[in-house]
Amino acid sequence: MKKILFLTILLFCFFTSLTFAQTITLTPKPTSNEEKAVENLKEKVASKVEELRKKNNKAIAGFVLEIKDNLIKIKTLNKKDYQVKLDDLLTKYFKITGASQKEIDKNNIEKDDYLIVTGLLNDKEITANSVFIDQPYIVETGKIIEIDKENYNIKVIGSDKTTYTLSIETTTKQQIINIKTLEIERIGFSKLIVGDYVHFVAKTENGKTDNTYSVEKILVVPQEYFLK
Amino acid sequence: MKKETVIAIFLGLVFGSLLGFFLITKNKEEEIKKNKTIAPTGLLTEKKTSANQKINFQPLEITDPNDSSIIDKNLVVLRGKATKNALIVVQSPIKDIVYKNKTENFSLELPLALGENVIKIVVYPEDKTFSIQEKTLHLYFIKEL
Repeated sequence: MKKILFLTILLFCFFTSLTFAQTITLTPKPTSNEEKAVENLKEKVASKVEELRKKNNKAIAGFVLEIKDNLIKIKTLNKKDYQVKLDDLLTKYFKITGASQKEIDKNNIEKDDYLIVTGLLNDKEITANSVFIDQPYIVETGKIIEIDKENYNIKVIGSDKTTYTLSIETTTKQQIINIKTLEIERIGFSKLIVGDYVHFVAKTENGKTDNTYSVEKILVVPQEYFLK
Repeated sequence: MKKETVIAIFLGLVFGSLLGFFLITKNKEEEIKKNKTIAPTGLLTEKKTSANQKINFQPLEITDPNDSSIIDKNLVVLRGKATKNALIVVQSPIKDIVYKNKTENFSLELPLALGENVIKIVVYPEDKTFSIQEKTLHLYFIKEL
């Protein structure tokens, strides 16, 4: 009986070891080609992830209405409200001044600041990767309907019937299109005529409702162009 | 009445009726021809005119880049379509471009400032009966560290 038991155990051990040996033998050793393939796959996955991150990375901009812990409410120039979700570890903050940007602290953001927020946009909520404080501009166009030569102001009516009052400063870059050569030429305030089309750029700020702007630059399309 | 006279009257009536019928039919055909000629000519001219207008008019389209795009360099190429021979004025806070497009497609290089770039594109068609068209793009040139 003991012999039979011993033989059974011996046979069991033999077959088990044989099975393990076969298993080990079947597992292939990684070759350099396979390593390369794995590396390629890793790179492909990484680039796909980066591509998706870029694809989902959206930008919105607006004025700060309210700051509460890790949430900022903003309103865009088109009067749409968004919630900005901030992350203590991931979100970075910058301030843009001219052609440079510097990293700032979250506490530097104040009400009425104009923010550009990048991140994952989901309907009216954006999870911020980066937040930039920037200077907002409006770029508009319209027809001159009135010229105030005493105060160096012009009134312009836009295509959406909005009337803008533009203050032409000494620093305002005033230009006109030469309708023969299509070159852009410098002009003075006296050259502006009611009926001309004017393109203008001005700085804006939160809560501005009077549509009165001190303009940075204007570009005039003379009405003669339309009489050709 | 003589037999010959009756035959002559009968033949006269038959030929007279045939001639009358022929003349009336011919006259009607002439009238129809005239009507047919006048009416469609006008219609065709109108159709041709509207077809030409349709061919000439191309609504302003910006095909690239999309609004609210994030750009990672300080230069962008605006691509789009507008009416042929229109005057295109592109304005941003840092650059003004005036361009007359020879074909419907246009492609313009525009430098970008750091941050938000509000870009207004206005098309003044050569045919003054067409209205002025405009579009605004918001492009973000930012360096995410």
